[in-house]
Amino acid sequence: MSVASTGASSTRIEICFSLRGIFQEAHMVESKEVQTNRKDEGDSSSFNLLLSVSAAIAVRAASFAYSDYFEERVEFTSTVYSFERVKDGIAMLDDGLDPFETKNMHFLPLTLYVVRYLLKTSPVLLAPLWILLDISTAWIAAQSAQKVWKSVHGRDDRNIGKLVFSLYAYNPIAIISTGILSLTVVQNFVFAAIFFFLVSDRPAVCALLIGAWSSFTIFPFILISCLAFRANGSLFKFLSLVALSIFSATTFFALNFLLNGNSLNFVEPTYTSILKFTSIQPNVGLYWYFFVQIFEHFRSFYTNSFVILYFFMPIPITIMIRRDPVLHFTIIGLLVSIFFPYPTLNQVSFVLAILPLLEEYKKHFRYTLLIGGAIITTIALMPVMWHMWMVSSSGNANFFFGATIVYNVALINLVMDMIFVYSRRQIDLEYSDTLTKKTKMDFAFY
Amino acid sequence: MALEIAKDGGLARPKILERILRLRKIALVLAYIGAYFCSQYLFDPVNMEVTRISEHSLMPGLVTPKFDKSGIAIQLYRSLTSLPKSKSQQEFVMDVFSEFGLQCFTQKWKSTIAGYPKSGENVYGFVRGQRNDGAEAQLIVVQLGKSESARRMITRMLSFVDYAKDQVYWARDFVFAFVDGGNGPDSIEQAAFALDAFLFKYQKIESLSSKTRRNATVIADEIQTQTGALIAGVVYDLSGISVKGQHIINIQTNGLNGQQVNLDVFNGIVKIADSKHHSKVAIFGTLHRHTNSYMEYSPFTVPIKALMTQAFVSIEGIHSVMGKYGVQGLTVGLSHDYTERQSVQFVEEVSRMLNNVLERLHQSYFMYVLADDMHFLSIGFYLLPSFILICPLLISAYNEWLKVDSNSEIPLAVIGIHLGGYAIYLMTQWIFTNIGEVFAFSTEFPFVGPDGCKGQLTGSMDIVIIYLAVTMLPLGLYLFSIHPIRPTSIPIMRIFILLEVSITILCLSLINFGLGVFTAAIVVPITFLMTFESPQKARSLYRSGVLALLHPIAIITILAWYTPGYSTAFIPKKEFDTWTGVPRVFIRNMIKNDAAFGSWHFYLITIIGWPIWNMIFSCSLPYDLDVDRVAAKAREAREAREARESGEEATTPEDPHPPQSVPIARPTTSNISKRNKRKNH
Repeated sequence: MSVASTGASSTRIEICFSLRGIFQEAHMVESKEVQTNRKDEGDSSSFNLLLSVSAAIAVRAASFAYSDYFEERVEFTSTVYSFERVKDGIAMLDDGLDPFETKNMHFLPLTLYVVRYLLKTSPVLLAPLWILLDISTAWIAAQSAQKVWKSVHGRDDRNIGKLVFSLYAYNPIAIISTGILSLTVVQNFVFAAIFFFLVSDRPAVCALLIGAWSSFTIFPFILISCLAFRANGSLFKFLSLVALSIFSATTFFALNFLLNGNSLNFVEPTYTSILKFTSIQPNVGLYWYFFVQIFEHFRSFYTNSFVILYFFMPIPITIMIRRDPVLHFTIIGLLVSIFFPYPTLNQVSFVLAILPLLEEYKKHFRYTLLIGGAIITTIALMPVMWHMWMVSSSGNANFFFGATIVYNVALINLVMDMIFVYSRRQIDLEYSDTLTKKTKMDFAFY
Repeated sequence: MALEIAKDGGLARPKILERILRLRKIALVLAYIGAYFCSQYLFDPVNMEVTRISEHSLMPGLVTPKFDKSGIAIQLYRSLTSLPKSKSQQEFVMDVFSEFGLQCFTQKWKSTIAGYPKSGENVYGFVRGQRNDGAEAQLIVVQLGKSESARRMITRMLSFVDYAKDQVYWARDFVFAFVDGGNGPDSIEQAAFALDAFLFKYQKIESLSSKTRRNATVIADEIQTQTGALIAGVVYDLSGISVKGQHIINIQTNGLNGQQVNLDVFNGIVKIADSKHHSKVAIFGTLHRHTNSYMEYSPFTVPIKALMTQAFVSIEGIHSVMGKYGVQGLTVGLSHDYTERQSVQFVEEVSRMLNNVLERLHQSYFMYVLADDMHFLSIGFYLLPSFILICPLLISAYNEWLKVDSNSEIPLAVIGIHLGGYAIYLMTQWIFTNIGEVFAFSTEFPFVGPDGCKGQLTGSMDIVIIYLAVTMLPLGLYLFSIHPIRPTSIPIMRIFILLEVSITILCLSLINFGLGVFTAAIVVPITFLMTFESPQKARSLYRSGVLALLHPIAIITILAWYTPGYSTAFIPKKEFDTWTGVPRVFIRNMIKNDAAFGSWHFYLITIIGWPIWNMIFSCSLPYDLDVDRVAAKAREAREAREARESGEEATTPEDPHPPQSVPIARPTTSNISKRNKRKNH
């Protein structure tokens, strides 16, 4: 008899982190004598939720103490998400200078004015606001996950929402990003809201949000392909949703135009810089190093190719994965994060948190350990490589880029594995009557 | 041709992984044998690369030196030796610079660390290059001091200043820093701290962020005038020796946290010593074994010394802090018997070498292991033993991964123990920085105060003793005996431990190979054996008992005791007289170096080493687990099936594809109707 099994027979309190239902089992009292009723369960559930939210708030509040260190980390900030850079733009506004005269200001006038308003009126509330947004993201993700689970499985027996909440709320990358007031927190909030409205069958709101978000960083526009699942097979309805999204984006663009004194000079440092990959400062993305290396006369060819490829990708994916909107949303969400020119590690936090929703595909994933190991190892190696490049001078840009490219390849492998598992499951579903134990199914490496 | 590694969508594991898993029981032995022979091959100087100067612009160091002001050096030495008590060495240097018509300033500095109360006064001056605009500069450092060799070096450097100011070929400015290390036994360490204070202000580090200013370990005067970015720095002293007329120069290259000087600078200086001064070069106090006619030693002696120094010595010389500021620095111990002319000509040649560097030194290696002054091993090769050593951990982690199911949980103890380690680190550092080495608990906030503080509640305590007492208690043994981890979660815990150890070793090896490989050599077998399945209670208890003795500090102490030839580089000999001497000195140095210089040792041992040691108890205690038994049975069944199938294959060659066990979704009416519909369509 094991030591552990001896202990299990008696009453004990275990602090554990369940992969099935973290909250539910966080403080588990195992006793045959204990009889619970529904009311007790409700109380316990509320208590657990309160405890979890409090813990999530506490770790975020604590992370502000280390903001000086982390806000300089290239893994957590980039040219379009750095709060420090927003403050630079606001300082220029305050000095009566046009921030868009410089090519380095990648924030829209709306962002600058809203943050300036917050900084002027209630600077102390910025941190609580960011914490609130991030916790709300986790909560919205949890609600969406529970909704999806119920609609897919027809029952509410498993508290998947708690797992999703924990995966986001206790993700160290999300916590640190909140601590440095990264704008990725706002982005993840919008991402979660889009997912929520998508699974709640509110395509119009989704379209409005996708349009609004796209007006800031353009790349999320491919999420519009997810609305194909909410058009009830009607091309007209889908096009209407696209039009609604464009209308939303145009409205925000007009607002920016007006805020910028009826000037369009913000277009180049914001939109064009994203589409042309002009900022080549190091980040965890795929492109900066590439555009450092290539000859200038090839630049337009590659920028056009990459942009066309990116906006083309959702078409075959949507045509292929047409029976599972959640998987489709996950794949498109990952693509938005991977191929964005100036990403941070927090870009994928939301998508990684909703991965447990792909429960039915779990047994077919081929490279889970490989991908998980690659992501964890490269995240650990990124600061090491940065140190070797920038501090000890013993490495160079290749070292850091090496870690980031393996990280991105791991995410791309995840996307490819998702496409594979979808196909594999379709085989099971379609040919279940003819599949026998002797049926041989071999799959080549990609 | 596509590589077939997954069958049936990943449901059947690739055979290659199965084969690797079969080797798991002997993986540790194989890895050790592999790493041993690999190291023996790689670290033999015969198989190493030969050093060369990659940066051609360093070659001007090999020109004919012109220094001819030996008389000035001798005159200055006499003046310094007969310096009146009312005049400090700093004032003397200032006066000399003034006489030369050069800028010179003093910088007073004081440590803010209560446990390291040091203060002093540096002197620094400039010689401006004529041929450039002063965008870059080279740093020359000499330690102030009353010893005869210190006085000689100071005056020789001042005579070089006199010579250098008249030359027109300087393309870089010179920054001369005379650092105050006092005259105590730890004068080199204090001089390194003084240089740290100078560079901290010179590089304007604190102006970069308010937090750096708040947490600065030193208060120092601002630098009065500035010149360009420091590309390289050389510390000169007269620690070299002469044996029967043969001059031996002593060179030190190790920086803080495993940093090393660019190999080109080292090679350039070796070349100058050899071709211009016919002097031998000693590294880590050892000569090239083929040129050493006085003793015979193993070819691995110097590489091992190099790795030990890199791993455990934070401050090898004054130059060690330069790496923090991106300055390529090393210490050159000129022969004590060099004449004034010869030693200053050496300085001139090195300065002319560095004068022509075209850009930041980057052509040669920064990560290397030296075997002697002519042979080195680069990072691409020396990482191999580390990689081989962590393989058993990765194999074991994969094996555990196969046991994970949906009932597995991630124990919060992982986070809790790490937070505990972090709390110990923060508290120790806070006490050392704000109170000192001796402290007492008090009844008044902040409840911890210096010896004799108001409301002193307890007797005075030594921070080192308290740290040892707190961390050496096997908390994990107690915790996981009382509250064992759920058996289904043990595979997850094992994976956490195995991967954390692997990633830590990997990261350490990349930055500080010495520390990485020694850690791997000791920690890998402990982690592997303690996380292995245990079928018997006696075995679990025995190994947990052994683990309780294998505290990181205990291991270091044993290692130091059994390798006195190497460990005396970082632990004074007299500390070996008592059994508590080694751990006490080791801990004290770690805490001090962490606070004063930013060394990582204390951080690593408290935040990673201690938590892992405690977490391993959660895996070493349980025995005869269901998850292990089920996995073992499944493996046996699989192997039996494979053996059967391979037998069938051999007898029936016409059936090359044995049937796979495919879990099949139940046919449903909707599926069948859908497919029929499609067929009809």
